Order: sequence, then C-alpha cells, then structure tokens
Amino acid sequence: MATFFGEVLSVFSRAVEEDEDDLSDNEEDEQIRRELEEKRVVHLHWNPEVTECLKSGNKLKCSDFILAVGPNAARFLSVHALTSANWDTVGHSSLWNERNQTTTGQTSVEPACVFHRQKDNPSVLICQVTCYIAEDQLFQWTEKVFDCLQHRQLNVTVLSDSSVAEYKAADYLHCSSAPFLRSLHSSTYNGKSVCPSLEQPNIFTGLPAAVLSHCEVHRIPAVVYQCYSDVLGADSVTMETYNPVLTSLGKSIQLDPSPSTDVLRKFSRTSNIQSNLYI
Amino acid sequence: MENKPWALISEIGALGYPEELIDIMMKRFHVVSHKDFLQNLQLYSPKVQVLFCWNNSPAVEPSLLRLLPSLKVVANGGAGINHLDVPYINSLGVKVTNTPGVVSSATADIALGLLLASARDIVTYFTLVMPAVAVGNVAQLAVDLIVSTLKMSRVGFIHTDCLIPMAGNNPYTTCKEDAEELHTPAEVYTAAEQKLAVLQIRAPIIQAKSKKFRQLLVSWIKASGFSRTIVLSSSHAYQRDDQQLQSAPVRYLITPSLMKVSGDALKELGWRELEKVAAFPGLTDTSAESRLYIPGGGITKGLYTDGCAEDLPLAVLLLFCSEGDNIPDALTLVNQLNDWLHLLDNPVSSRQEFTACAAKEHQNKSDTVGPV
Repeated sequence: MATFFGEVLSVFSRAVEEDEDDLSDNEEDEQIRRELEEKRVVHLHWNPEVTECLKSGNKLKCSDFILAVGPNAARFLSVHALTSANWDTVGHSSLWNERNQTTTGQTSVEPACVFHRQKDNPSVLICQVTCYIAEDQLFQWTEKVFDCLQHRQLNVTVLSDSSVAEYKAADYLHCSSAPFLRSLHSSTYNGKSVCPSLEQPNIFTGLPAAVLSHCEVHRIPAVVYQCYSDVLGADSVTMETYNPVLTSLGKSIQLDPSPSTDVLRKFSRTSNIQSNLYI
Repeated sequence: MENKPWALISEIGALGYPEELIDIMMKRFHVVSHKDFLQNLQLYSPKVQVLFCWNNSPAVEPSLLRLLPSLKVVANGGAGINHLDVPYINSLGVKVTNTPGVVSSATADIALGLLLASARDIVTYFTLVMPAVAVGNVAQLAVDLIVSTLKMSRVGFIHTDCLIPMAGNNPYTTCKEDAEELHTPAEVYTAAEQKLAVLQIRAPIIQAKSKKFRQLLVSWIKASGFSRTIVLSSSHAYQRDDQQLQSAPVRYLITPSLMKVSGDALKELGWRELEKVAAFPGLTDTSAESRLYIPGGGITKGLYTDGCAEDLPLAVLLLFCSEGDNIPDALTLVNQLNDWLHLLDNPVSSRQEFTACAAKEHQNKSDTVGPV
C-alpha cells in the first residue's frame, strides 16, 4: 500500500473507516443485516448415531482431536491414517461465504470439511478442512465443534498449510529453505515439540489461531504445526514436511509411516492441473 | 469395584461440582449427575446412597428426597447447613454431614483484610488503559510499550467472536523460558503497584460486530469497577481541518462523569480538547451543526459516545498521524499519558525499549483486514 506521502509500504494498515452504523439504524437495514448473518451461520451435520448422542445431552467422548487445515495437511492425514479403511465418516460442516458458495444440500464432489472417527477407537476424531472459512466464521466454527466434544482428557493437534510469503525473518536468504514446520502450543500442552517454535514477529491466523485461542482460554492441551511452503496446491514434498508429526500422532492412532506409492499417487493426481499453454 | 456406592452430584464443572475433585470421587463412588439421574430414574433411583450437596446444588428438597429410597447420607460441602432442613432429613433416617473448619482461617483472613483495607482506605480502584485499533496502530504500540516497560503481568483474556482470531508467541519475552507463551487477540494486564490495568487488543474488530464489541467493552468496564478508562487512539492527520492543524497533534475527549474528577488536571497540563468539525465544510452558515469526527479512529467515537450515554468515567487521548513508521508517534502518546498518570519518573525516550514493540508493529500491520 502507499501512504499519504507516497511511500510504498510492504505492510497493510489496520486502520478502519469510521464506524457509521448509527446512520443506518432503521428496521429494513436491520433485517438485511440479520438475513446476511443467518446466511453465514456455520452448520454441523452429524450421522444419526452422533446426532442421537448429542441430542440426549451427551458430548462426544474424544481423547484426540486432529484437525488438518489446507490441502496438504488434509492429504497427509488421508495418506497416513484414513486409507486404512478403519475410519467412519461421521459428519461434515457446511458454511457459506464469498469464496465458498456451495450451499447446504448441494452435492459437491467432496465435502470440504469432514469429520472421521476411528472404528475401533471412537475417541479419536479427525477433521479435514479444505474450504475457506471467513474471518467472522472462524470463532463460530470453533465454538460449535468444541461444543460437541467432551473436554476432559481432550488433546488437540492442528496441522495447517501456509504460504512461505507469510513467514517473516530478518534474513530471508539464510532462513531455512521452504517447506518447513513451525509450532505453537497452548499453556496446558506438555508434549514434546517436533519442530522449532514460531519466532517473533510471526503469528498464526485463521482456523489454527481460532482453535488455539479457544484451547488456551479453556485450558485444553493443544499444539499447532504450520507448514510454510512455496507451493500453493497439493504437493508431495510439502506433504512430507509433516512427517515429524507422525511420531507424536502415532501414540494415539495407528498410522502408516510409509504408504505405498499407489496410495501416494492416488492423492497427488487430483491436483495435476492440465496446462493449456504448452503441449 | 462393583462394591462402590452410588453418589448423586449436581453437574461436573462450571458452577457445579469442582472438576478437579471428580477423580477422587470416581475412585470411591459411582457418580451420577443430577441431569442423568432425572433422565433415568428407574435405573438410578434405588441405587443412590449418598447425595453430595455443593453450592446448595442439587437442592435437597422433599421432591428430590422422595426419589431416593436408599439414601443414607447428605454430604454438604462447607460448614453452613442453614439451607438444609436437617430435622426433616433426619426423620427419613438420613444423616447430614458438613465440613466445619476447613475455610475458617481463610474467612478470618479476608474479614480482617477487608476491615484494615476500609479503615486505612487501601482499596483504590484501578485505572484502565486500552487502545482503539486505529491509524498506524499507534495506540496498540503505545500499550505494548506500557506493558513491557512496567513488566505488567497477564491476568486474563477477552475471548470474543468480535475479533479476528490470531495466536503468537510471547511478544514481551525477556528470556528463553518465557518465549513460548501463547498470546491471543485480547488480553488484560495489571500492575498492582501503579493501580493500572491495561487491555491490549492485537487483532482488528470484525466490522459488522463493532457495535457488539463496544457493548461488551462497556459492560466489562462497568463490571470491573475501573475508576477511569483511558482510550488511546489515533486519527488521520490529513483529514484535519484548519483549527486542528494548529498546535501539537495530541487531543483529548472526556466524558462529563470524568470531567468532574479530572477536568482540572487536564487543564493544568494544557491539553487541547478535540475540536468538533463542521458537518458541511465550506458552508459559511453558522447555524450548521458541528460534529465529532474521528476518521481512521475505529471504535473511538462510538466508545466515547457510549461512555457519555452510560455515564462512564472515560477519556480519549488521540494523536493525529499518518501511516508509516509509527514508533515515534507511540512514544509521543505514551509520554503524554505519563504526564497525566505519572506511571514512570522519566519520560520514555530510549528506542531500545521498543525492540519488542517494533517487532509487534511489523506483525500487527501484516494482518490484512479481509472482506467481511
């Protein structure tokens, strides 16, 4: 952005326009706002068994909640855990925003936010999020999901994709080459970290931040591993960056540490976009 | 394990039965919560032999006792049993127990402490300083400077859907040990010696929820009983009108309720109140209304207006500035505040004190305000 004096800054301002909402306090505007807000509500859809359980006032017994945000994190879990056919899909969440227009009921190819539960150990819940959740929906999503889980003995692990452009370091050339992992954990988390902690002045935003804040405030042990990569889409090198996390995840779930090439190929093929520039 | 007796309690956690004690309970009893009990009377009703009463919950009333034919003991957490109809309970062949003496010394300590405090006028209320997320993040930088200079300790969070989520490691780190401390969008710090509380806001407010956020702040300020609230803020320098261009770029606003107390102090400091601007600049019609206008000031104006309406003792201290390197602006703002509150003996001038904050600014600004 450029400042008033014409300096070009590499950073954005948080300056906000003056709040003029006192001008539009009439009923019609109020109604429009309310309808817009209703449209942006996050919905959770569980299978009948879970729905029944939640209806009767119980919460899901959950010892490990593993959340993957972004295509590589989601694929990492698909390859190492979900391929074992040992998993039930127990639900998904649906939401509407500017970048995510598929509404409830529409059958998209693959739902963008799915919950899986292990068959023989139902206290492990995996969630894969590959859709965009808007800033005003993050808090709501987190509250709704955690409201379904029993907090006692709950451990939370978040894997999240991020662009290396988001990573700030004084010495860009000498900072470790992408992709690499950084972590943040809540104060009640006492596990061993498998990668360096996030350096100042970097911060996490988006769903990992919402989940981590929630866990910090509610004293739930949680750790977030963020992978900074220079590839935007699904990519096997980026996916492998999450490998160190296998050791800590392996304690709670059965993982396939070295999946067969067939499995890997299955999950990386979908992202091959055919170029129309060259033959 | 099958021989354990069944015990009825209210609920686990929140205001119910203390969560940290539940493991001990589980070792000795089969525990059933009041809600589960009512949902499955046939199963539990004949089994329950003990009723644990905590904070008068579940209420030991005839309606409940009638459902407990095997009950032997009502165990009350705490010394007082005025809330129990002991003769009636005994008449059912049920014993009542309490825990006399466990909190006696703590109660005595507090009673004496309060006596001394009121006799010696020790309890004075805290002053709250908070930023408005505004141009150049000046106020947030100023608050960072206050927190790190006074080495304030974190005492709480404001966890709300009105702020965009963010999380990061300790921005005020002094050694390796405290570097990995998670920090969230809105946190409260205190310095007991200076009777100062500070609210730091690290994330932008979701625009559609700014009104809700203001209401939340006002009710929190009221409930916390702060003696005064000082909102640090900034406003676009290029939007000043002619009279605002004169003199130093610092201005204040004060609600009538704080004016009564601190009006003279501000007059002595020689500060200028923020001038109202013409609603329609250029028109010479003198009858035209003038209005309060704080461009780029975020919730500043709304918070001040709410403060006036709710009779809050609140002041706004703001600086006209532009985007850029806003560290000098933050220093100016903190030194102005220090002239009023006398938090530090010497004015803050060292740039060194700003290392943490400079990093912070970089971090603050790189957060874009996305579409809402």
